[in-house]
Amino acid sequence: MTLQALSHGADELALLSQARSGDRAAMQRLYALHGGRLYGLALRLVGNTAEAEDVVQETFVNAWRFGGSFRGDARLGSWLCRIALNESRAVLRKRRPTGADATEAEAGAVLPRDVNMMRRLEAALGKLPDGYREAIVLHDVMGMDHAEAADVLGVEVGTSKSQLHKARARMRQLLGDQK
Amino acid sequence: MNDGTKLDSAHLEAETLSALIEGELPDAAARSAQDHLDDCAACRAEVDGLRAMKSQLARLADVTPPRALWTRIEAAHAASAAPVRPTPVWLRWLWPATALVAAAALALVLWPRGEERAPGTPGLARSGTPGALSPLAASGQRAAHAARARDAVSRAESAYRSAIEGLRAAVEQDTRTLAPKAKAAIARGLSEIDAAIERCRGALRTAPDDARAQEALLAAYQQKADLLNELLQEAM
Repeated sequence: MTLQALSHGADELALLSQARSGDRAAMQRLYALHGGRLYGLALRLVGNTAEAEDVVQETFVNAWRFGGSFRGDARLGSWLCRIALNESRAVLRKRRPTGADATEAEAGAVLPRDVNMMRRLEAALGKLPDGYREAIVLHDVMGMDHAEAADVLGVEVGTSKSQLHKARARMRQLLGDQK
Repeated sequence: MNDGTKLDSAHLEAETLSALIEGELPDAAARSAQDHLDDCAACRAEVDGLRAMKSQLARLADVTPPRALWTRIEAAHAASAAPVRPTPVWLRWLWPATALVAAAALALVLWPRGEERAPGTPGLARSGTPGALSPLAASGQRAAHAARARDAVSRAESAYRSAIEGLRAAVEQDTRTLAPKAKAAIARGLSEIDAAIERCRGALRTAPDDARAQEALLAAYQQKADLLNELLQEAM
């Protein structure tokens, strides 16, 4: 870890500590830094804005309540993504028994040049098995490298890679089926 | 399969091509795959398709959270962090009034901004349900959201007035229990908050769907709830 990374990690740790002690400005700063990215992650994992908002809300509330588990040895953003991922999984677990459709997506939430293509991608993402969706969202949508994606997923890098390539193959198949 | 490129069939598998475009195939397998690509237009097209899909997926990250989400998170955090303390008997009936203000304020923050969502979904907020929207549907939904927000404002105001009446009745009923300092704080706090609320209401009379005015009104309600909690704890 470089000196700059260590310094950045210390800053993040301090910011989280301030937020946990009730410092509203620190909370708002954390939200400004990470809220958009977490919302994007949650939206692509759960597939709708309402539950994505729930996920982001619970992510921050849990981070402030239980932030003591963050030691600064990982990037704060990755740590928050891990919480958001777990919250998203909980949302999906609770949704399934109700029969709600996990594949619905909100094209209005993006600003695409090609709305139809975005809708097709969102629909295909919604049809992926959870593990595939998580891998491809973290890597291809969120732009994480294999190491960070594996860290968030809590798996080996090789497993993350394998899931990604399988997910892309399945996506291509789903997109082909939509034609 | 003998080298990881799955050349048993006529074409390379998409999974293999995905690893190829990431540069993750072993050297020998990558060379073999490249040889195949040189002679196979279908696999080259698949590589192009994978690259295009990767690029398009990256654009899905371009989303902006709704402006009210931060307010929601703050409210949820405040609700989760509220201390639980024993309440004196004489104050117990006041808690529902205070809670009513807080609940009304929360209701406004958390009031659905989208269509009704599926039951059984988690979280404090209930702000809409999935669905790709046509422009017409989106316009209709925005109108519905605005109506719901106005309704939430109305409910919050009603709850606020009820809570204030309850507080005043408590002060009149048992002034011995309430310290002068608390009474002064009540008068000062109520006056300031009422003025802020009146300003918000004035703005909303001009523009009933003004989200900023609605949020400011909500903030004033939340401030009121905080003040009540503070006074109640001070009296304890």
